[in-house]
Amino acid sequence: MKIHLKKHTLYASFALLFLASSAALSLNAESSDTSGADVAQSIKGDFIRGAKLWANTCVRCHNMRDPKDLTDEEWGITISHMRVRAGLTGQDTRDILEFLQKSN
Amino acid sequence: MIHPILRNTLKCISTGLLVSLATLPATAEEDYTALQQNYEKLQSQFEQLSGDMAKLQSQIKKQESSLDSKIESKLAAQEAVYVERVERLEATQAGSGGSLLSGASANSSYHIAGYADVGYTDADDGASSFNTGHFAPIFHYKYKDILMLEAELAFGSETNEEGETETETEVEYMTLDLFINDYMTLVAGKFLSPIGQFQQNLHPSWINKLASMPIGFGAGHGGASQATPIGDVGAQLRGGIPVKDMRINYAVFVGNGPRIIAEEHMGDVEIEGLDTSGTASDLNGNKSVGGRLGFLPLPNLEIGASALTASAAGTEDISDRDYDVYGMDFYYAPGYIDNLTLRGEYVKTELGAGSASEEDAKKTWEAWYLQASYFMDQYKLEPVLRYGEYEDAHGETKTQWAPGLNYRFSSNIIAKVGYEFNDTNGDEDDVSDRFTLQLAYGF
Repeated sequence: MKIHLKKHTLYASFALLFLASSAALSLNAESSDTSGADVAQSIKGDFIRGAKLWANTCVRCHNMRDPKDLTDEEWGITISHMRVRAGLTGQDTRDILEFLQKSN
Repeated sequence: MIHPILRNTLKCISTGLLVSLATLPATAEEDYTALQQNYEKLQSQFEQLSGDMAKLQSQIKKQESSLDSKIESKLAAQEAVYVERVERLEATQAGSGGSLLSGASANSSYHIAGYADVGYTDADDGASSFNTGHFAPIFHYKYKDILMLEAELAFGSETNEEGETETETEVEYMTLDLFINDYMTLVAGKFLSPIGQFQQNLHPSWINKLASMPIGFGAGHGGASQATPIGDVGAQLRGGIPVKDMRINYAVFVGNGPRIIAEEHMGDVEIEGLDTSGTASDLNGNKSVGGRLGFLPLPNLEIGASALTASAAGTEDISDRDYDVYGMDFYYAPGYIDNLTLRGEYVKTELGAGSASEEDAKKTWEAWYLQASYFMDQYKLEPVLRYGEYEDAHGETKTQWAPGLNYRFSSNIIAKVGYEFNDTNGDEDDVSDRFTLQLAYGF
């Protein structure tokens, strides 16, 4: 019995999460201004928002690294690693990356 | 357009003829007729020469046009070669990234990160030694913003029960991370347990504020995990979702689950603990399911709740048993005191009772800790204080006060000095106070 419950729980959890993330994605798309400039800015990342996120997020686990410690390409990979570790959204990642690459 | 030399020649001839005609007597009608014929003949020759000249000019124009187009195409081809060379040079320069440990092409990039530490321990029971510490390179290889490979290896040396030094090599984790959308990533492979915070995020020595793990959060005898699982092999869905000004992060996973470690003592088989480092295959065909939900009502406050349920695979003498883990964790950085951070974690593991023929009853492992650290930016110093408790499956409780002082050479190079006051309600010989030194480097 416990095995079946686990499998059902598993499938339901994954399905719910996928739906939730998809819903969040579509809600975000609907609420955002779709003018070309804003979309480009959104994809590129926002420096100010990135600086705030960098200050608040990184320190939750470790000392804040100097942006000059890594090159643009290295930050590009490192921030993807941190996206997975810290539960960041894709937009958070782009914002922080914009800040780090402009500050190194 | 008539050629200038030809035009001048014709002019001279025409002028000579006209002069000759003008000087002839008007009565010489026959001569006049002859001259008229000559004139007409010359006129005809002139027209023929003009036609030839036009033809020649047309041919020259054609040849010039052909030559221009040939030169243009040749220059364009040469330019294309130079552009390609420049692009290749730029790509090579970008690829070097200023480091041999990283590189990039148009679509892919890689980076070797990681951490290392060395240390010294002096216990009050007389045992003191330098230790080789650990070296843990982490490989990142990413294809666009679609997929990333992450793999952490761990190298270290330990002294076994016979006093021999053994080099340990281990894959801490190896996952392929598929970025499904902005709010979800599929993480598949061998991963660190998302139960709580310490195992997945705080264990690297350049991150951990003290030289040791909180008691109950590491591995015990025979590699058995203590109160908290270490990892699993399976698949996770992870991500973050903003909710107005608040944030939620999540991780749910399914994996092969743990296995029971049992040893024979005086003819009886006893459970030593659980191997939760990630079994390469599902030994009992029963998957583990678990996850963590983190809630950030404020940017400087995170509260997390974790749970895991599975059926731990038994041995020849021990049957499969229910396995459940619950945990809570928090992080808080009070805004009114800069550089002060507080964190804590609680975790409880339960292993169900065996069948009626097995004597072992239900077992529990329970641990928690609280930690405060304050960074004095002016002096690069960071005092740390941690208190932890751990109750093992035999009901023995250990407590630990661990004050320490760190010096930051930089944000990723930290020298740590600490002292552990260890106590127990069980056998006093099992614990001793320790002085610890460690130098840690995150790269």
